[in-house]
Amino acid sequence: MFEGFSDLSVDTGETEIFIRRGGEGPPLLLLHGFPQTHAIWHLVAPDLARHFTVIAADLRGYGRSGKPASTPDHAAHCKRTMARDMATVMTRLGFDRFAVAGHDRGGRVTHRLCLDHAERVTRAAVLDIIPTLTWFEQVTAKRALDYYHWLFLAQPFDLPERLIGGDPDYYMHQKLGSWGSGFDRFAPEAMASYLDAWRRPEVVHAACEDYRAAASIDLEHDRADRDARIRCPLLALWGEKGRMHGEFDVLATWAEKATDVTGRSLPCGHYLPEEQPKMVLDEFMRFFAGG
Amino acid sequence: MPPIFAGFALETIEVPGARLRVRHGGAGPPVLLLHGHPRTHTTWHRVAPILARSHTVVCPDLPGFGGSSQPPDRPDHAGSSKRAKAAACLALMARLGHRRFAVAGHDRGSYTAFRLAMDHPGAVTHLAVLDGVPIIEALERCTERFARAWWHWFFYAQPVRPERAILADPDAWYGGDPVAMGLENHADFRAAIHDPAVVHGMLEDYRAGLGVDRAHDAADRAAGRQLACPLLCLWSARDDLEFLYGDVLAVWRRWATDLRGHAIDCGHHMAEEAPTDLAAALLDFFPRD
Repeated sequence: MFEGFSDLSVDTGETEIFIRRGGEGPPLLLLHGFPQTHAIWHLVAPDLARHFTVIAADLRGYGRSGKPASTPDHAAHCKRTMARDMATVMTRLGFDRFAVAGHDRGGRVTHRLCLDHAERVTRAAVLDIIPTLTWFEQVTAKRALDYYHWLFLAQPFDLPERLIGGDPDYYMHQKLGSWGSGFDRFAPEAMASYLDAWRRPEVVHAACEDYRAAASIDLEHDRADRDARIRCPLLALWGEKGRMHGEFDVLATWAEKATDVTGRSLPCGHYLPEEQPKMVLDEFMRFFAGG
Repeated sequence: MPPIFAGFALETIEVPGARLRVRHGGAGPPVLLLHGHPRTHTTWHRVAPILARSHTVVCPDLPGFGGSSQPPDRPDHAGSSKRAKAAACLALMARLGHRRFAVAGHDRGSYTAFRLAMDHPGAVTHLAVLDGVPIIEALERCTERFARAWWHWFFYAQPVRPERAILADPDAWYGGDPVAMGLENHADFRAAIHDPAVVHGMLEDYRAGLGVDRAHDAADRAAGRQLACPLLCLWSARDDLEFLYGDVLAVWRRWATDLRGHAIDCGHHMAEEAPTDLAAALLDFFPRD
């Protein structure tokens, strides 16, 4: 995985962010989601690196990045803090302006980057998410069932930690197996990256904190920014076999948050970069490189 | 300390489709008490003796719970439907010689009690619902507030995962204070939550709730059917029914013409926390000889 890329741990002053860097060209930051690591990009990053300087990062708390102490208000794991991590990483690497693509939780960090650091983001892609606030304000029984983990993981410490920690491999297999096109879709090296992280209690705790933040402080930030818009071009991609497709008008939910939105569904489940790497690559090349 | 349910019989009774563990005693007009999740019939141990002074009291473990049999697993969870459980309770009462009776149900037991009264209006003379509204009314009010407060409905309804997660450490999941619950009640509860079959059976009760039970409620409502008997609705003031629904009785109004109710000052486990107040409210409502 990531042949020709270099591994680097970037000190942001608040924590350490692990990245893989490869290629030459305009900077493109890639952010993963739950319960994964930067390894989700392993099938698209090498091709992107022929055109971009690719930075594939682990979000704080996940993978090999730092595990800052959680705070009662969950601010240590709010998307504003995670976005600040990434803005600082890009500063440290010498990139003033950059493009960013985020899947799942990384998409929420991308959303926050576009609002809090608008002057630095040139183009942004969000994969398989609708805005956090939109989900909470439009929840129904069906959606609560589809997204039960949002509610489960946001329960107070340490109930989800204990329940997941009793059998972390099982939880990982369930999540990766049921939201995509089946467990076999994942490369063994990528799976090793996910499991190595997930077997560590501090990673499970950080993921829970990520969801606790989403159900509290992130919503406060999103409500305060209700009238704010993402000003850069935004690409939204999502899976046709996923839970959003058919349940939400995904482009419409983003059109409420951004001025220039394009996008489409791809024939796959939740894990787009691993299920349809070629299509994701084509979409990224068209959107980020204009060709 | 005297044993709980002194003077009551404890039996296992076969009815079509189920084998029910049941405690019964007392004399007078019959009342059926249906416990909730994750309890067994012993949750009534402080209420049943009070009622038994003037009534024949029947407290089964619901199918899928405690020491009763497990319903068959079916893809649509109809084995754990409230319709099926109500039919089993009706058959149980018939076996004990009670053709007409009053029913009180708490929590999950309130859904079976409600279904019993809807499906068998000739049998149920009075219905008391404790801490519940019809499932369809709850699900249609699933806002952010509801989803946050009752997230366990959606967690439990996931396939397989909750069993694995809960059974890894049932005491951590279910809690339960032996002093507050009473030692024997707690021991009965604890045996249930450590039995993988029972944990599965209890979760199936929720899975049925989101599908087949909701559909049965919807069909009744579309047909304009209502309860034929008087309804007493009680809720725990320190639980979240008022928080979720505001005027709890208003939610029930389209289902019942003879409706009354009030809050009781306690937390969720009303029968354990406020047995005297609960028994008084039930005795005030149930028929007397």
